[in-house]
Amino acid sequence: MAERFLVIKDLHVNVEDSPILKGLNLEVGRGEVHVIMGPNGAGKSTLANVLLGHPKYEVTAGTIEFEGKLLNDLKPDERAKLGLFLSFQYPEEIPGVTMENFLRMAKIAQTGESISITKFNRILREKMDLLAMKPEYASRYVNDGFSGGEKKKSEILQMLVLEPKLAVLDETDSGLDVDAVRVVAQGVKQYRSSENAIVIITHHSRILEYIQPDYVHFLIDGRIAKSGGPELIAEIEQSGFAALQSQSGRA
Amino acid sequence: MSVVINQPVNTLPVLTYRWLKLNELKLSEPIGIPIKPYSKQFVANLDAVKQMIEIDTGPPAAEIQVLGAGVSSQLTRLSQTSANTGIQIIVPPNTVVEQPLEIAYRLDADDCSVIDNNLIIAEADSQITLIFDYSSAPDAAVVHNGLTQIVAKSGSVVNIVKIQRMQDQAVHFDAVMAEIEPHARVNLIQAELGGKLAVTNYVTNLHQAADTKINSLYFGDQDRVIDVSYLMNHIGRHSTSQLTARGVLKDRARKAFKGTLDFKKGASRAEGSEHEYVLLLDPTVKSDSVPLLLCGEEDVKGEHAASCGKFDPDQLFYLMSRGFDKIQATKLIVEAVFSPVIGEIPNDKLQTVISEVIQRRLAGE
Ligand SMILES: Nc1ncnc2c1ncn2[C@@H]1O[C@H](COP(=O)(O)OP(=O)(O)O)[C@@H](O)[C@H]1O
Ligand SMILES: [Mg+2]
Repeated sequence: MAERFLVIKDLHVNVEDSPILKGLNLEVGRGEVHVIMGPNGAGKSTLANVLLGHPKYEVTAGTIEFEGKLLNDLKPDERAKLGLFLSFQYPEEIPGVTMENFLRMAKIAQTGESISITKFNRILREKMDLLAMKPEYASRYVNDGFSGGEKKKSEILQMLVLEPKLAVLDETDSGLDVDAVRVVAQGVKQYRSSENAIVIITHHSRILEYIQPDYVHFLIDGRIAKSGGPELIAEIEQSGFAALQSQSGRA
Repeated sequence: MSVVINQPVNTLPVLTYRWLKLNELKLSEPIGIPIKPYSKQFVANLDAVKQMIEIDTGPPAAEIQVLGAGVSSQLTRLSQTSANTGIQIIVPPNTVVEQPLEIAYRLDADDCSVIDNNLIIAEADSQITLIFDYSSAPDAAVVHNGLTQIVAKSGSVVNIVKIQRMQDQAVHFDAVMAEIEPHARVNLIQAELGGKLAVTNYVTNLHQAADTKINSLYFGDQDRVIDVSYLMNHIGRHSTSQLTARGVLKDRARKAFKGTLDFKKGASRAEGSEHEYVLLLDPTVKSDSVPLLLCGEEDVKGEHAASCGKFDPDQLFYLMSRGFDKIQATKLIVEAVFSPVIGEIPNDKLQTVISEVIQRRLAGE
């Protein structure tokens, strides 16, 4: 890899005292798209949450470095300000706070620069158009009463507005119909550039019909069990994780 | 001279199970209220309105009969007999006073007690808005005890805004009583933001097609004790009432919310609703709600909904992952709870002041 962008070394993570990640290594370079696949309960969301610094996930060993900075002791907002973003598998609802206010304030919090309401709303509308979101969503409360699919679109909208350097998408394509997957994929493609990187956690190969990844990893039982190119997707389609799982069980 | 307050306050109109300990609030210790004059100016914009209405500052010359006990009969009596301030207003018929009248009390070591007795009479089809703002100097042990009586004659509209933002050593007792005649409306906005003990009581008699709207907001942090009570006596046909309370509790704050809809015989087609939402920021707070529905009449609609939300770690993480630090995230959530009520306050400066008080508290200043 040309440049050290995201480097995770020998990461061990406990949740409520039980080990979930057990020595995970992963490097992501600037401009790359990585896909992480793995069975339920393997620790994919744990990895996503620990990257953003959820206090419930305890790093017992190992390091996470982003652009040469050690993240281990940084708070979630400090990581966001460095350019990390997580599209949540289960986005939270924030009643009483409108999408447009929330995103404008988040943008200001991250950049430290103020932006006028008019200018911001113009940008917001553009991004919403791209995701085929009706304008009225801007004045609705954040994710409040949104359907599963609307919540996932809202996450991608947030990514497009906040313009992070590294976006982790945790099952953003789950529970979406064919059209919604296409729209979300379009959003991701729009965001993709040589300046940033994307880690896509997914169960389905459908979103990968739109987005060509550079690397594919299998996360099994708290470790990266296998890494390779896009050809691994076909492998998993055919034989599933069972074979790999029994291998790692023996190891 | 000083009076010692020792009676329990905010006794429920109908008692519930004693073991709930919600029938009344017993004071943890007797409270002494010094009786001495209040020295400061307290009506900010008297000149702007005095041409339009009859207004006197000071307690009323004669007693008018009260609608209920208020916070306690002892405290109501105190305001009737020993008030050191107050305003008396008569709004003539058909007179619409656009500009809110601002009444501000600042308590400190010298002016350590405010005992006000206010009387507002709105004649037929008149309108007026009054804003009462109670604040105090830091570290001053002060007491406010207030009685505000409203007579809204037919077709009139009286808007009352009560903001209490005193410091940690202050005690606040406040009773509002409204006689609402046919087709008249009384709107009450109440913000309880400070004091170590805040006890408020609102009682209203609603006659035919009379209406009252209450927007109540409370923010309790540290060891604050808040006890708010509302009694809507629906007397007339088609009378309506809507109570919306929104609160946030933090640290070891304790709050009791008591709301009673009393539909008297003859109040057919009356409708009353009570909605309370409270956000609990810490597991160490205590939040009690006692909704009561009394029906002496069958053809009425009474509705009560109380809900509470918790600011859980996952929600906090979500906000922080978007770049808000912990205080900003908490403030965002708290303002979301309050914004519907704060937006109703007819004074931009006070809206800002309230937001700032809340922000300072959340930052632990
Ligand atoms: N917040 C949590 N509290 C308790 N257990 C958790 C929590 N998050 C994850 N776990 C546990 O950690 C393991 C991995 O979960 P997760 O990372 O969500 O898996 P995946 O996303 O790969 O399906 C599971 O056994 C799950 O029960
Ligand atoms: Mg998951």
